[in-house]
Amino acid sequence: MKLAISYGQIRRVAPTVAYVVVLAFVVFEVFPIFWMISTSFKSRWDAFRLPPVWLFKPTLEHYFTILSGKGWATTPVLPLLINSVIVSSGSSLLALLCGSLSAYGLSRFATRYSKHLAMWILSTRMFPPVAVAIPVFLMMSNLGLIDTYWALIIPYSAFNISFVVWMMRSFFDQIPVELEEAAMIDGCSRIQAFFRIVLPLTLPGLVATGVFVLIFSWNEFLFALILTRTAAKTAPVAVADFVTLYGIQWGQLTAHATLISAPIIILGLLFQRYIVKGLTLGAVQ
Amino acid sequence: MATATIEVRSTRVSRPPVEWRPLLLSLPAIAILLIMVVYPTIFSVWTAVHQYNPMLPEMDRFVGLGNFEHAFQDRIFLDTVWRTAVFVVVAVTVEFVLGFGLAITVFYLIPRGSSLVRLALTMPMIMPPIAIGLVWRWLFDGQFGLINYAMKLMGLPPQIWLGNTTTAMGAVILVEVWQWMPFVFLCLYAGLASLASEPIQAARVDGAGPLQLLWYIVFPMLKPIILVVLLFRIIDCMRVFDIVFVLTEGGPSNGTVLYPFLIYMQGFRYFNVGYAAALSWLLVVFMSILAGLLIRMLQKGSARVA
Repeated sequence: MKLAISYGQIRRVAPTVAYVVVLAFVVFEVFPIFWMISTSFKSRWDAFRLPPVWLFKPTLEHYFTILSGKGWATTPVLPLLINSVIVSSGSSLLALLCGSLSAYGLSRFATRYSKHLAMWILSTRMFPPVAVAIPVFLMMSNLGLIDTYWALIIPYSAFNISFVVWMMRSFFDQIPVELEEAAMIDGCSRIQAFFRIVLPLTLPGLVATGVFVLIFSWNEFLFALILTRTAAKTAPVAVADFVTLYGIQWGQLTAHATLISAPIIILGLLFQRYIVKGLTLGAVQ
Repeated sequence: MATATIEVRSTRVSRPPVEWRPLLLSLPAIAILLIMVVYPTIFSVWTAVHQYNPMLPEMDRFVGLGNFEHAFQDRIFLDTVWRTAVFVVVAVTVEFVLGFGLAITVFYLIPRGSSLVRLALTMPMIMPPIAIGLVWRWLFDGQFGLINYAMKLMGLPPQIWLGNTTTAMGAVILVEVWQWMPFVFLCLYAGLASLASEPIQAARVDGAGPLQLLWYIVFPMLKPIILVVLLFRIIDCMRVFDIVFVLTEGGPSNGTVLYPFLIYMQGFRYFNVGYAAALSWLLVVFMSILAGLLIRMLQKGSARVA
């Protein structure tokens, strides 16, 4: 008997099999996020029910609990989110400002050392942050900056500057020098040419880079854990509060996690096409 | 005499003046990097050669390379290095195999649904790792977790996933793969989309089957981007901290302590600051080699995919 399966038969079923396999992977990747959000809206009885209830009466009780600060977290969630917003936007602005300046210089005035300078700046991106955690902690304690916004804004912008320089340099490279030169012949100074010609043209790139830096800073955990206590504590750090002696408070915890993730999910949906480019430092568009 | 002066002058003119503007414009960036990365690294050199514990300042003494010598006799350290190596190799391999397979499948077999698949798979990568770790801890929960419920439905015995060294390590790897397999997928998908179609069509005309096409034509053409993706994943896997912190806290019995978590434990739980600094240095040296490789590839732009 000959082998009954022909190449043509494989060809016919392959797309169907492919759909099933790909669908399974998509479900695997999306389900935990869905499960986090859905658990946060379940009453404490529904949350623990097995088999799981898919249709349930949604409740906001966990959100009210964490917003009022009556839950297991030592602080209400709103100040934590505000701290997160201040720290991540502050560090993003600082990184964008310093990084873009440097990127513009490296892009426009190429010299012998600029390549080495760019490489050195990029190398700080690969640095393991935990390796400098202790010295940074000691430095911040000596300066009395522990539990202040600056204690996070400065390290976060340092970790992101390399990214901004690298991305913005490629955006500046794409803008023909002739445009600036034309403007300068027409009487603009270089600074005016930069603000009137170059900046508007690189604005989409600047926004995309900023979104990335914002996501990195928003998600950062280790430095926020060691450098803040209460006043400047960011939202991710408070997660540990829900792991209590009496077990883990899953309802409040998933509500908290959903609140932290919501802005990221929205940014992700809006800027999806830049994300792979950013994560590969521009190697993949 | 007069001609000699003119000659000297002309050579001076022909040498271009040093361009200070890139350096000048980079000064703020360099300053921040010096404060937050270079100074702390140099400071670590001092701590690494001391037995330094901020809780016991009077015990502070110079030990030379003692911390490094101690590391290579320290069972916990050696186990952690081995465990981290296993973690990196297993996680990156699984991520690559799944991501590559998925990229090929989606690109060649379901081109129409690809944008939706790519959108869905973008989410895990940008989610806060701390939230991710917790959701998975909830799913792995021995009593109320969905995974054990699924096991029961399939007639398999439930496991205390995070209470056993082997399964806990498996859980950490699973979460890492869950979060970063999409990265491999998206990069390789972009790579496939950018490939020139002529060589593939030529090989097809010459009678190559799909597997031959994949192995002899597509794979070699994707090689530069594959190398960049793998280096990115290896470097990131060696820095994993948040997932371990929330999912297993390094337990049970240090069974899921990865290198960065060991530095954290030594420095911030046992206050062996000198020892932690020495361990940091070993990690930095090793990672600099990998980072150097990756940067060289990025700088050359050989893997650039449009």
